[in-house]
Amino acid sequence: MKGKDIFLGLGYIGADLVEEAETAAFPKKTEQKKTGGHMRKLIGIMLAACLIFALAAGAYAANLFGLRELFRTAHRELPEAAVPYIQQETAAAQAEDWSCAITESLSDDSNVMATVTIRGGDKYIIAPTYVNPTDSVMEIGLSGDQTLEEYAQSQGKKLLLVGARLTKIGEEEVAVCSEDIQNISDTEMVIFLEAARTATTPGQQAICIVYALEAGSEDVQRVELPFTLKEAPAKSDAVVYHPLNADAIPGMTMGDMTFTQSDLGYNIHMPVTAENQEDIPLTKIDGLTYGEGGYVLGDDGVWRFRATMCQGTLGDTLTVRCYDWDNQLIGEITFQRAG
Amino acid sequence: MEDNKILELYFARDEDAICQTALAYGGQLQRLADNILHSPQDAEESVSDTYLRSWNTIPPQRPRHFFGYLAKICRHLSLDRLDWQNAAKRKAEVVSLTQEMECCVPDSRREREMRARELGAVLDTFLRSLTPENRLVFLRRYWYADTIGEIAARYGISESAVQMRLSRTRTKLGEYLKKEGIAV
Repeated sequence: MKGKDIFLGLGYIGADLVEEAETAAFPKKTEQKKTGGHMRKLIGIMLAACLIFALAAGAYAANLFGLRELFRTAHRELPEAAVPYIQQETAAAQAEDWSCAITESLSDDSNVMATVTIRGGDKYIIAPTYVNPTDSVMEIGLSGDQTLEEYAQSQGKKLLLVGARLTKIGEEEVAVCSEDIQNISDTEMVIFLEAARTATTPGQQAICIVYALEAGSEDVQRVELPFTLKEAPAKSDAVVYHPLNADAIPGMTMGDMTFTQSDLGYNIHMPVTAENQEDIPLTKIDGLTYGEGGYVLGDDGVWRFRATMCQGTLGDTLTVRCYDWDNQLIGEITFQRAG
Repeated sequence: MEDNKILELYFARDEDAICQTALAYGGQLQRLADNILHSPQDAEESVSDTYLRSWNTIPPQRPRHFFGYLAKICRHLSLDRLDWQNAAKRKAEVVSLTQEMECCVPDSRREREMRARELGAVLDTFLRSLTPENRLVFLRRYWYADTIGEIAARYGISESAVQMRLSRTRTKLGEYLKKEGIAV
């Protein structure tokens, strides 16, 4: 079966669903803003040092919602060779009536991943920031007809909307941080974060910001979680490939492709010049698999193709294929290994 | 004119039924067809064929959800009319929508043939298990072929919120189809 079959199969759903999607509105939003405009720090909660505490055996020891499981939902299997480099519980903080912790982290010279666990304790039901209090409890994996705020009230609790992102790696500001959210229970959530890095210094710190908004409040709480990175070491020197036909893609010129390798896999960087950034294509490399690869505009104004934790084998030549957004092949570039 | 009154015209074989249908829902049907076909002329033909099909099927049909009934006919006709090969070259949105759906197709070792109608029943059950908000966003994207921006504007939410809801729902759909033993 293909995606097209699902698309066509949707033609046979109930007419009431079709009509609902044409006529129904979202539930009314409540007055408060969820983010922005009223952000402020709670000075008393800013951490000056990491707090590390040991956990009893339980969900974390079983790694039910650790990096491996969440990586799988976002990409594919985490390489087994990467598992020994997963660091457990490197930072934690206790805010007012809720807590958060970096439960696992993993990095190499190109990538930082972390799972952040947020717990509402006795006071809060935890939900992601993109929902409304009037959304269904199904948003956090519960069944029933209640809204989130009704459910929280029925539990004698309040609703806390939470999120997190990586903001800094060493001295480097994080430009793009992807996230994936999983509710473990109504009072606990795990957020999987991933961000790229370009500069590595042993013993670097990364900073994760956890933000929370109590439903009905306008004040966003921010908790800063600094944690120390311990990179999976490089397995070999960087390998460079030169493009033999750098201008094969109209409007683009490919630069050298650089591979670095750790036990997490290959990390790829390739600068390109593009006449029109709207036409930057989908790029695939023969013989290599990766969850996500794409072009990022750096602060220096240069577009770079990046792919991290790639699996596969490097030969003397590599074939890179570029596709337009309809998956039609635009062209191929052959790269030759240098040296 | 209310749906019940329009349907009475169909049952009375009064051709004003078509005019009233066009007045009530012509714009929405045209937009739906154009989202799929990206050609106003082709879309207009699909909508005209929809009116003809509704005239030929009502009676004996007496749809409880009249617009939904019309929209389903229109969507079927538009997809039948769609030249998938040329659609890819014209960068038709619907081709990229089916590619978005590829991530839902699970790797299942059990093989079972599903016709579109049976798959529709499975999808129907899945959709009814969603929150109303996620169902609305999902159907606007994959049934009505709205863009992310149009969905965000329609419901007054951010585009990233739309993307997040779609991503989570697609993941849930993939898991649901896998549990149902839907083969690749």
